[in-house]
Amino acid sequence: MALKMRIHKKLPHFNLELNLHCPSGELLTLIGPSGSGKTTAIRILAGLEKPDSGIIHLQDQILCDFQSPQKVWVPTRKRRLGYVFQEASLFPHLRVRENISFGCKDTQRVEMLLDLLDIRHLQDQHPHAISGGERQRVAFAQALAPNPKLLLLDEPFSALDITTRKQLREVLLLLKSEITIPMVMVTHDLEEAALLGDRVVAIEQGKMDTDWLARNTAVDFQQKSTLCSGEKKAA
Amino acid sequence: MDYAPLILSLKLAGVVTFGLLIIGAPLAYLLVFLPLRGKVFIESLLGLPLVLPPTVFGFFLLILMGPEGVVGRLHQVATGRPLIFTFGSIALAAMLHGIPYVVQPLKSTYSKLDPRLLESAAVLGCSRTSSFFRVVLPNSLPGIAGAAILTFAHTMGEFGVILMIGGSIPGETKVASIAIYEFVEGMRYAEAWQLSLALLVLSYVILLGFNILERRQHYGS
Repeated sequence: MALKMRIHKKLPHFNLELNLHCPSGELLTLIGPSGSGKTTAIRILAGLEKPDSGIIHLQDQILCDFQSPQKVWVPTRKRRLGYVFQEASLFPHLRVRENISFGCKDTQRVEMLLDLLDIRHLQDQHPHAISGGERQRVAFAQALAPNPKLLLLDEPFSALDITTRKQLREVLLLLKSEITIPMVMVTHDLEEAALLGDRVVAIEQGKMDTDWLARNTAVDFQQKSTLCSGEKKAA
Repeated sequence: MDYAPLILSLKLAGVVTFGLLIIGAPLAYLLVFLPLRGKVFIESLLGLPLVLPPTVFGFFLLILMGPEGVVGRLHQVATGRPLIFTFGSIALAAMLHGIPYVVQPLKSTYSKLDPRLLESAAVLGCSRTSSFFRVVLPNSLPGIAGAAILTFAHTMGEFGVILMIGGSIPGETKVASIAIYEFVEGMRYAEAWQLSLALLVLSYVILLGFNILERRQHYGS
């Protein structure tokens, strides 16, 4: 039960070449500067963009295989994913509860997520009437509601203030203890990558860069973990 | 004063607006969101009514819908009656002539939607059709209302195309604009005044509604 991804895509200024593996229950963090190709990588995983070549396996399903003659490509809607965008992209015409149940008919699961993410009191509000942090909590609930096989997080905290960001990191750590699917998070924040990721992969100019972390880490990851009360498995 | 032409204009505008919304809303969606090849050719074709003189547009429709035209012959075979000089023919002609008045504002409305909403819907298992009904339409209601008002107002003032296709048959194709033209031709200025004033007030109220809606939309965002 894992995610395996080996892809190649030609981008305007460089080629994106990634070879990733993420076991179930693990949060793989992709870190790198802006424009390094990390968001493209996560969008390819979601099926929102196509690679030029490569293979993506999720559990026992082939999501993409451009190496076989059949050229397998599973469209986004059939991938059973959870995707949390940089800024919560909730449906403005729906209330919080309706947003969560948009992709899920299981009302018991919706109830469970309302409690787990502590947003029950917001269930009748529209997205514009709640704060950015609350919207992101709802976005997490919405992403998890259809019982996804893979959770993708695209810089989910970058648009939030420091206090809310810390609170939501706690939320993600709580969710991690409950979730048994592979999770991939994109961030350009070293602290976040270190605190939340079970494994951190650096990307620069579209390629996995093993030295990038060493070059850019000014403070030891262990020291940073004191910023968050959650348990960090590895950095 | 005979208000039948005005009532017929209102009926025509209602039918055309309803029909164009049914056709135009998904058509604009396809043009904005579907990666179609040759989209620019389709868009230029749909925009022709904006630049062609109504008489030229009406002439081509007359050829198509007349007894020798493809559409006219199909209608004759299906119903046993000719298509032109009927309410159905002027409704069809006004719909074809009004397409850009509904498609252009809807394209503009859809283009302003946050693309992540559609991506989010896809991630949550929605097909393109389902996204259209569950995400695009509910988030485009002010734009749809604006397009409806614009189409209604445009059809109320439709003249050239209707004259070419429908002539002037009382109760069937003699709409307000044609009635006014005939009153003036017959030197019946009092009646022309009355009907023109009624059309003026009605058109002003419709446009006022459109502008209020647009201001609300502007300040709302």
